[in-house]
Amino acid sequence: MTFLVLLVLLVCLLLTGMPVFAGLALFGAAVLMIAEPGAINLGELVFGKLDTYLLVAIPLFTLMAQFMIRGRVVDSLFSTTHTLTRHLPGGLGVATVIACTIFAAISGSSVATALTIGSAAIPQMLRYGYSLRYALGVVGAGGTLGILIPPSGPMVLYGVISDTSIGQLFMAGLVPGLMLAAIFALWCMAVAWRTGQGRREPRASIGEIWEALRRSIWALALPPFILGGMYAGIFTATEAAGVGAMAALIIAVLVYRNLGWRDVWHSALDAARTSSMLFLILAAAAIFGHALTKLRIPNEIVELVAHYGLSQTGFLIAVMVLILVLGMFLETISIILITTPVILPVLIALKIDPVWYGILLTVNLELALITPPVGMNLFTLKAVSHAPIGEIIRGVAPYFMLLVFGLALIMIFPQLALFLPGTMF
Amino acid sequence: MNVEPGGARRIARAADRISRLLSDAGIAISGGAMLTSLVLVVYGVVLRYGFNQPQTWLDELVGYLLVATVMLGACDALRKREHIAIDLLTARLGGRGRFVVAVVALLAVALAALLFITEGWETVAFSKMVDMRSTGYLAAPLWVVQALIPLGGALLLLNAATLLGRLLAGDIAVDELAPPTDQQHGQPERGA
Repeated sequence: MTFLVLLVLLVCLLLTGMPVFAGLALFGAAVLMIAEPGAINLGELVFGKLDTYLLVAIPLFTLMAQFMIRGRVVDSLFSTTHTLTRHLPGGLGVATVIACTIFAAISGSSVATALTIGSAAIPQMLRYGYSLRYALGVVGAGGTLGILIPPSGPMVLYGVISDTSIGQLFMAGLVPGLMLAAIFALWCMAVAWRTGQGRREPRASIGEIWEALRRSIWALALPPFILGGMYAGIFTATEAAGVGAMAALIIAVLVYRNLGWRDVWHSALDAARTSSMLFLILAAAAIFGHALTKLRIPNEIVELVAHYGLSQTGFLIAVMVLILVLGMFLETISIILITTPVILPVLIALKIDPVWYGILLTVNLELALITPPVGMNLFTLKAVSHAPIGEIIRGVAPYFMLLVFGLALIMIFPQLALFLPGTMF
Repeated sequence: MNVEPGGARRIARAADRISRLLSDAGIAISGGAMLTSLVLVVYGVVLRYGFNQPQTWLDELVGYLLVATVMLGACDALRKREHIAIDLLTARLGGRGRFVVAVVALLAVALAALLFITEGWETVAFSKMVDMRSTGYLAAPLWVVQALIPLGGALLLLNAATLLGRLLAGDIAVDELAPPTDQQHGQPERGA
C-alpha cells in the first residue's frame, strides 16, 4: 500500500514536467529524510551506481549505431529487404518489419529504429498505395522490436540492476524478438491481402537479390558478429559493444568513406549526452530505491505475496498489469529503474527466473512505447509523418493486441525465452 | 531596430555566457572520455585474445571514465534539452502556465544539483580523510574520482541558475529552454 501511494505521488510529481532525474532524486531524498533522518550518504550511493563497467555497453552500442547511421552504412537496408519481399502481399510492410528487425540488432533502441526505418518506409509505402494507417502501424510496431532484439539498452539496465547476465538476457530476447517480427509480418501480409492495398511486383531475380545483399552486406554482417561473439563467450556485453563500435567506425571510414573525424567527434558527444541523460536517471533512481529499502517496502511486498499465497502466474499477471498502466505515463527507463528493485526480492522468493522476467518486462515495455498518452514511438511517428496522433494510435492498435498475444505466449511457454541462453557457452 | 538590453538582462546574459563556456568544456571532456573508453575496451580485447595479456586495470579505469562522462556531460544535456521530462499535462498549458513549469523545472534541476554537490562533497571529504583507495588493481585514491560528483553537480547548478536568470530577466523565451518533451525525443541517439 505504501509503495502504491509513493508511486502515485511520484507520478504526480513527474507530471509537473520537471526532468525525470530531478524529480526522482528530490522525491527519493525527501522520502529518505522522513524514513531515516540525518543518516544518508547519497554521494557514495550515486558514485557506486555510476562506476559500473557493464553500463559502458549502452553508450558504446549508441556509438556503434551513430557510426552506422552517420556513415550511411544502413541506407540501403530497406531497399534490400524490399527486393527480397516485393512479390508478397503486403511486401513493403514485410520489408519494413525485416528492416526494423535488422536495425534493432544494430541500434538497441526502439525510437532510433522507428525513426530511421520510418523515414524511408512510410513515404515509400504511401507511394505504393498502402494506407497511411497501415504504414504507421507497421513502423510503430516494428520499431518496438529495437529493445527486445539484442543489443538492447533497457536490457543492459535491467541486467545491471538485477545482477542478471546481460549476455543471457540478450540471447533470451532473440527468439521472442524474431517470433514477434514473424507475427507482425504475417499480420502485414494478411491485412494487405484482405484489403487489397499495396502494389505487388514480380519476384526479384537471383542477380537482383545478390546485388541487394552485396549493397547491405556490412549492415547485415555486424549483428551476427556481435551476437555470435557473445553467444560463444568470446565477448562480454561491454566488449561486444566496443568491438562493434570500432568495427562500425572502420566500415564507415574505410569501406563507405562517408564518415569524417568531425562526425566521429559529434557521435561521441551525442553518446555522451545520452549517457548523461540516462545514467542521471539511474543515479536518481538509486536514491529512490534506497529510500524504498529503508522503508522495508520490498520486504513488505514479499510478505504480502506470501500472505495471500500468490502463485508465480498470479504475481506475474499483477506485475504485468501494473507495468502496463505505468507504461501509459512513464517512459521505459524510469519504469525499469523504479520497479525492478522492488520486484526483485519477490522474483527470488517465488523462484521466478530473472532472465525470463527480464524478457516479459521488455515485451511489456514495447507496449509502453505505443500506448497513449505517453508513448515514445507514437511521438516518433508523429515527428516522421506529421500524421494526426489519432490516426497513429489507430494504426498501431492491432499491433498492441499482437504484442499482448506475444507476451502471453512467452508467459505460457518460458522456453521461448530460456532455451537459447541455456545452450550458451 | 536593435534595442539595448536592460541591466538585469545584461548581467544574466554575461553570467550565462560563462556557464555555457564551462558547459562546453564539460561536454568536450565527457565526449573525450567516451572515445577513450571505446579505445580502452577494444585495446583490452586485442591484448587478451591477440597477445594473451589480459589487462586487469582496464575495467576499473573505464568505470571511472563513465562517471566523468555522465557528470561532466549533464550540464550540456540540460542546455540541449536532452533530459527526459513528461509533458502530458504541461503541453496543454498557455504561455503563463508554461513559464511557471519552466521555472519549476529549472529550480528542481538546481535543487537536485545541490544535492549532488553537498552529498558528493561529504563523500569526497570522508574518502580523503581516511585515504580510501579503490579495491581494484589501480588502488586509486577514491576521493579524486568521487570529486566528479560534486564537480558535475556544480556545473549543472551553475547552468540551471544562469538559464533561470535569463528566463526571469525576460532575455530568453520559455520554449527555448523549457524542459524537453517526449515529442522532442525522436533523435537517433536515444537510448530506449
